[in-house]
Amino acid sequence: MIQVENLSKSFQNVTAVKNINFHIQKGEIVGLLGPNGAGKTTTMRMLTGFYKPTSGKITIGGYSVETDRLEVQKKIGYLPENSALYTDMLVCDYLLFIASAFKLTGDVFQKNLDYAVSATGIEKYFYRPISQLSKGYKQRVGIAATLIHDPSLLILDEPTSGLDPNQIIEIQKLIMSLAKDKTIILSTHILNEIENTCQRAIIISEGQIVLDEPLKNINALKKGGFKFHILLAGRITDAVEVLKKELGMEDIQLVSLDDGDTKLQLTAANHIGEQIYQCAARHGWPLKELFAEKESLESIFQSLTSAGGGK
Amino acid sequence: MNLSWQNIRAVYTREINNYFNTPIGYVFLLIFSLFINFLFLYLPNFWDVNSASMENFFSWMRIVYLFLIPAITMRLWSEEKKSGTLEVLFTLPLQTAETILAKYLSALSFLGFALSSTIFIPISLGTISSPDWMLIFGGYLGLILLGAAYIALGLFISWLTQDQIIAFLVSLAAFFVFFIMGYPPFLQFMGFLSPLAAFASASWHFDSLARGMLDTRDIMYFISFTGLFLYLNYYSIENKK
Repeated sequence: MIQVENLSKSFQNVTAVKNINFHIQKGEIVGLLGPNGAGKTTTMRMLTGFYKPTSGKITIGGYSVETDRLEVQKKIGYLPENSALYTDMLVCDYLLFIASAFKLTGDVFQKNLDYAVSATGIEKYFYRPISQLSKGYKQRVGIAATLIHDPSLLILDEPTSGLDPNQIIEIQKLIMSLAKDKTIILSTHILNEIENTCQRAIIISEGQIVLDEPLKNINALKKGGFKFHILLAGRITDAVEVLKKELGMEDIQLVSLDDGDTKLQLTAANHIGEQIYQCAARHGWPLKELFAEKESLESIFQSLTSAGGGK
Repeated sequence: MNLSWQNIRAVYTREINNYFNTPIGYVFLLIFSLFINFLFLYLPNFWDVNSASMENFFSWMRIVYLFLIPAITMRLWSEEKKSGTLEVLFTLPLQTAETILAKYLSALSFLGFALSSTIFIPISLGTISSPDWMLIFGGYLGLILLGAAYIALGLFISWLTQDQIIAFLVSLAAFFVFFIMGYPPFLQFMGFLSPLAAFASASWHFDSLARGMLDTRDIMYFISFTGLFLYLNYYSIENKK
């Protein structure tokens, strides 16, 4: 459905997206995850043809965004960030305008309009001015507009941003219901949203993809993974080497040797707290602190998107 | 580039409705109509001249345009940029040229509504005397062409900012430059460059039409002016993407 190859976008001296690659199959729900300013919106804007890439290629449904922009845009339903809408219009007029831009007429128009309005639950607000709607209903109108031409691909940029918890759940349910027959890409920096709605997560940091995994793989990592934080009294410079040798592990890092203490961090698939304790005892290292942190999507996200993480 | 009139009509309808979705559009037209008709009746020299003439009216309209056209064009792009709806518009399957033309034609239509409210002036003149209809026709043609040119420039300026007030003020300043360049004291000041300044001046070409001289050079000037700024608008949008 979507092929993105070596995609980059620069604005004057700033490179917002750096050489990213991914493929998305028909019917997938993919979450683009990343901190603010990571390049999620820029990537989505390139997918929709709003921005032209500085380099690289995007193919959607067999059409190149660069050479067949209009054909691609006919296949896409796009909800921009902050659900930008023409607030001077009535809901019905806005949907009519979007439909006319897609050249929908007659029965097809009526059928699609009925579906978009009922799927998003905005029947009661159909003749209301958009400016008078709550943020949640504005978001629904935005989503209804993305559905009006029955697109095969939905691109939703932070669809729950700024909503209250009840509205977030409603919009997530709506997205799940749409996922039955559509490919969906949604961006967010809310981790729960990815866990609740997506099958696959692409984590972007500083314009680069740092993780692209099906959610079930990430869940497996969460179930089995532990991060151990170790604090030893005194400057024990060979601690990393000794632990690597005795525990037979490679993923051990020296965090700091400040304040006369040795701070270490290691990641293990199983809980190996006892082995760490025994190793410290054997070598006479005064163990000041030892605690295990279960890996979560949050910790994976943090480690991948913190400065230099995941690179 | 094959433009679709269906697409142009879709955006045009939205844009023209935008002028009338709030009372502001109607109030604007009403005030304009009252002001212009009042101005005409109380223009200096109107009742003093022996023949029924709209010469002073057309002369005043050049100045009214300096404020009227920026008010019509200021929001066309800047509001879309500020509210984020530009993203909605540019991700619909519409060509950039179709969107520009639709916005341009909607502003031109609104100007048409405004000008049509002055039609009572020549009708009144016709009932009480025998005006030179060629002069009136030339004057209105000049107003339409001058408006068309200024709207293209105002639309382009609106693209350059997301602040409507800035768009208004910059348009006002730009129109003033094209207005003043044809003003006799300015032409004197320009010395040997005065023919060039006069040719570049919108008001100079307008005056020529308003005198009833339908010179194709004046018409071509306004068409070229309009085409240039519509193209600049297109180029800067494509370049920004």
